[in-house]
Amino acid sequence: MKRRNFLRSGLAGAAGLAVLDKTALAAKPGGGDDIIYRTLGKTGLKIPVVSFGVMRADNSGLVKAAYDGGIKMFDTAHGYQNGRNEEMLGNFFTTIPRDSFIVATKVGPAGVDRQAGLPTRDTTAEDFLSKFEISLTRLRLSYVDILYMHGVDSVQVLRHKEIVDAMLDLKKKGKVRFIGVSTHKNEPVIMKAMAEDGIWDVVLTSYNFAQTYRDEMNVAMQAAAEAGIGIVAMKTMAGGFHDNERTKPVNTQAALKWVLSNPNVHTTIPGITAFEHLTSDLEVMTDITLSPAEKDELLAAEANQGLYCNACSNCVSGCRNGLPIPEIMRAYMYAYGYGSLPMASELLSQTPVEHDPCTGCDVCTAECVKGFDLRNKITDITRLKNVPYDLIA
Amino acid sequence: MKRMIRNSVTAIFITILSLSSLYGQEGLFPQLKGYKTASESIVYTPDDLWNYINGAADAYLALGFLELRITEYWKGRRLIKAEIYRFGDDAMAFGMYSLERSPGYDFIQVGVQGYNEDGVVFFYKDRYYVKIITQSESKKMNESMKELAGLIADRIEGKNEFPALLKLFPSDGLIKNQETYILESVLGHEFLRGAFRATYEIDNDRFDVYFFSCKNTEEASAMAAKLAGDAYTAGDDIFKYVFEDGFNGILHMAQQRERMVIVSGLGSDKTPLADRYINSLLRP
Repeated sequence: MKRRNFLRSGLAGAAGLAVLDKTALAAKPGGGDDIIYRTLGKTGLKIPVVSFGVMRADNSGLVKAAYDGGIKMFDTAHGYQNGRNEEMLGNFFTTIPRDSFIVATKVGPAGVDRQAGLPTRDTTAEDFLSKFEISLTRLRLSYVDILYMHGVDSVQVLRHKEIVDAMLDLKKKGKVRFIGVSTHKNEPVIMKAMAEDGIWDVVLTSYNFAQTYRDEMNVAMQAAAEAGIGIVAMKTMAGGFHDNERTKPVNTQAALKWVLSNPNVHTTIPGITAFEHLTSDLEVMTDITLSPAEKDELLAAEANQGLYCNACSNCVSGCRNGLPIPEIMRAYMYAYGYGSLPMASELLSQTPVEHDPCTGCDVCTAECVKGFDLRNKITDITRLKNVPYDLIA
Repeated sequence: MKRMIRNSVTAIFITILSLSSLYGQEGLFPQLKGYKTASESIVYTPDDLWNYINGAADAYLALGFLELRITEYWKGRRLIKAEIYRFGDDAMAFGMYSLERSPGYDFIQVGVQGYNEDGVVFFYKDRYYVKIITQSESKKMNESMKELAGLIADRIEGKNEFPALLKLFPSDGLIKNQETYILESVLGHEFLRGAFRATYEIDNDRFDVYFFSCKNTEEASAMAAKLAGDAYTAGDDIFKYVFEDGFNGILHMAQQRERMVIVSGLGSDKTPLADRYINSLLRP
C-alpha cells in the first residue's frame, strides 16, 4: 500500500460535527410556541421578529435550515447575484407549501440619477414590470407577498407616478399582495412621505445602534407605524464590524436585540451566510431581551463611535486647505482606537498632509456630520508627522 | 521629417500608456468613437458601495471589493455606462463575476470571459470585474458596448486566464460555466474559507466539488480538524473522511498537506466516484 488512506467513515450521523449540529437549531417547522411574533402593520401578516436576508446566501441547505428553524420570511431582490439569488430561493420554494412562507423581493427603478436623486426618462413602468416578471419566473411563483421599489432615497422617486401606478396595478392583479419601498438613505424623509401617501404597506429601512440620526429615525418610524405601515429593519448589524478593517466584530445578538427593542420594528432581515449566524439569530427569535452585559457592550461600542469616521467626505468640501480629512480621521482612530501609532503614522505618510496643517486658519470651516472636533483631532494626530517612523514602529 | 513624426507619435503613445498605468483604474476608461464622456469618473469604495447597488454590496464586500469607478458614454440622449470593480486578487474578481453569471448566457471572448445579454456586457480580467450597461435596445448600441468592453479589456494588464487552481478540476462530467470561488462560509460553515467550487453531473448524480488550497498545511489541517472533529488525524498521508454533516447531508472530505477537497451531493455508497475527484485534486 503506497499510501494509507484513512476512510474513517462508519458513516452517517455516527460522527456528526462536533462544533455544529443541526439539533442546535431545535427545528421548529411551522414555528414553535416560544417564537416571538409581531404583526407587519396593516398587512396583518404575523411573522417572527427574525427573518432571513438572503442576499449573500448561495447555499439552499442554509435556507432550508432557516425554514426548519421557524423563519417564515425570506428577503431577496431582482439584482442580487444578477438573479441567481432568486433562482436559488425559487428552487427551494418548490419543496415547501406556498402558504408556509412569505417572500419579499425588490425591483430597482431604472435610470435614476443617483447624484440628483431624481427619476429620468429611463425610469419607466415598462422596464420595472419586465424585471418583476423575470423575478417571478426565477422564484417559480405566481405571486410574491411583498414587492419593494428598491433603493429609494428621494421623495421624487418614491412618488414617481409611472412606477407607483405599475405597483398598484400588480397588487390589483394579485401578482403582489403588498407593496413597499426599501430605503438606505434619507430614510426618515422617505418614511414620513410614505405615511402621508397612504398607499404603502411596508417599508424596508436600515436601522441600527450605530446610526447617528437615530432620533429622527425613531420619530419617522413612529409616524410610519401609526399610518399602518409594516416596518422591516435591515443593516441591523451596522456592517458587522466596528472598523473598516473588519477586525472588531459587532455583537450580533446584542445589535439585533437593540433593533427589536423598538416595538415599531416588526421584523428584521439580518444577512445570514453561515449556520453559526443562523443559530445565533434563531436564539434572538425567542429572546429579545438585552442582557446588562449586552447593553454595556453596545454602550461601549457607541462611545467608541466617537473615534470612527464613516468616510462620508461631506467635510472635505468645507476645508479651505482641501485636507484629506477622512484619511486623517482614520489615522486618529488607529492611534486612539487601536492604540497603533505605526498604523497611524504609515497612513499619514501616504497623505500630503504636513505637521499641524490647520495653523493657517483662524476658524475651521469644515463640518463633520458626526460632530467631530475636526481641527483638534487633525492638529493632534498630525504631530506624528514630526516623529520618525522607526521611533514608533 | 517622417521619422520625426513617427518618433513623436511613438512618444505620445508611450506617454498615454504610462499615464494609464500612472492613473491606475481611471486610466482603464478609453475614448469611444462617437461618444462623449465626463472628465472624471464616479468613485465608490467599500464605505459607500451600498449607496450605489444597495444590499447587493454585501456580496462584493465579502469578496474583497476595493473600488468601483463609473464613467458614462453619451451619444445624443443615448447612454452607455461602464462600471469597473476592482478586487483584492483575480480569484476574488472571478468569484464575483461567476456568482452573477449563468451557464445559459451568451458568452463572448472578452477579457478572460464575458457575456452579452440584453443591455449588458459583463466580463472579468485579472482583478477587475467590468460591467457595461445600456437601456437602449438598438443593435448599434450593443455593438458599441462590445467595442467598449474590448477596449477596456485591452487596457487591463495582468492575468488573462482563469485562476490556475480552477484548471485542476477534472473535466469529466463538469457543468461548464458554473464554477465559482467562495471566500467566506463555504458550505455555510464560518470556519471554511477560500474554496473553488465546480458542479458535476455523472449519470443521475449531480454533485459539487469544493477545492481549497491553503497558505500552508497548518491552515488546511485546522479546517479539516474542525470539520471532522475527533476523527481527524494529522499527518503526511491523505486524511479521508465520509460523514453526515447535520446541515449539508453526506460529505466526502479529504485533506493532504495544504489542500482539502469536499464532495457534497453524493451518498455514502458513491465513495468510489467521490474518490475519483478527490484524488485528482490532491497532490500525486
